Amino acid sequence: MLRSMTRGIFSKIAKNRRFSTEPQIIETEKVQQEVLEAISKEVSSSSRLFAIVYVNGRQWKVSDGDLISLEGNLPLNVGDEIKLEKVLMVGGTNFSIFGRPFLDSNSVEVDAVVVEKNTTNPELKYVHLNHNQTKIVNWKSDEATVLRIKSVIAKNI
Amino acid sequence: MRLSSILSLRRIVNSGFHPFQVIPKPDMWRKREQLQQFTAWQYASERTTVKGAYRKQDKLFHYLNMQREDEKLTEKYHAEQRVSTALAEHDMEYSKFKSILSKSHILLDNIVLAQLAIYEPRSFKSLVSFAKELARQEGMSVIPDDAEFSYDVHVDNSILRDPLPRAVEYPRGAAENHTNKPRKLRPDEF
Repeated sequence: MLRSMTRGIFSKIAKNRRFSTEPQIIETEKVQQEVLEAISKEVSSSSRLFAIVYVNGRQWKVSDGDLISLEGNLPLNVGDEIKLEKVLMVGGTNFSIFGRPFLDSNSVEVDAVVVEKNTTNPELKYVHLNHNQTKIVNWKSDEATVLRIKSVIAKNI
Repeated sequence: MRLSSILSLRRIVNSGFHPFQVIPKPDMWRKREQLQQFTAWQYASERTTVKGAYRKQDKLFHYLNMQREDEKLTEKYHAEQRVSTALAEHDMEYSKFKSILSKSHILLDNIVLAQLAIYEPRSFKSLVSFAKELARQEGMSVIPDDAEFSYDVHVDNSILRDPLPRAVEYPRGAAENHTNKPRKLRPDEF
């Protein structure tokens, strides 16, 4: 009696259950289209974006109004406006797009202004030769170029 | 800020000199003032005695030098630690993650990946689930995401390519000494 009852229960479960082995058709292109549309909607609503840019041998995660200090005296003057074109990724609150390796420079614009050219805080190069009465104290400081990120804009995605 | 010279004040803790009397030996005063810049906040004989202060200053200078020399590698090392810890949170291995990223030509470096993991956790998670899916398709053993929180990833491994060649780094500088100029060309060599 008990056995027959349990058998009945199990057979019911087996009938209701959908196995994962059943083939499912996933339309990847359709999904991609939907995702892209959603992203372009998201972008057009002018929310704040961040981008990862490659400048001067280094990658930076930047957003509107950020200051980045680049190494060295670059051939730029204070007040120059430049466009950072090597964009590795863009992201917002609800999406992120990764370039392979770079995103199209027409679809993402990262504008920056040269704010300041100055020197870095001095660092010490110290050589102490034991038993030679020799101490070499050399305060090193490098030149730096400071950029302010004006805007990170994505379009035509 | 060096206010003491501007205000004609010499208020240095345990200074050997009276604060408002004539300085006995100007050169020695200047030297000790310079020394005190580094050792005024040290402890015991490193502050109160000149010999101890010099010993401490020597150590401090060595530490500053080490710091400057190690800075770049330290930054990279910390970034790698941060990325691998963040990956552990998502049950992913560092080596698998990096190999998939390099095969799919996503060239984000560890420094930026660590910043993503900290400040943009959702972007980082999407990247990790992308890498996981591809790693699974490549036949690596991967722990799948919790079904409740996982993203559905639509990729296949046809997007994977050969990893781009790595830039050659010379951490110890040039092998040869290039300070000596090569000799001038002889007329017949032009």
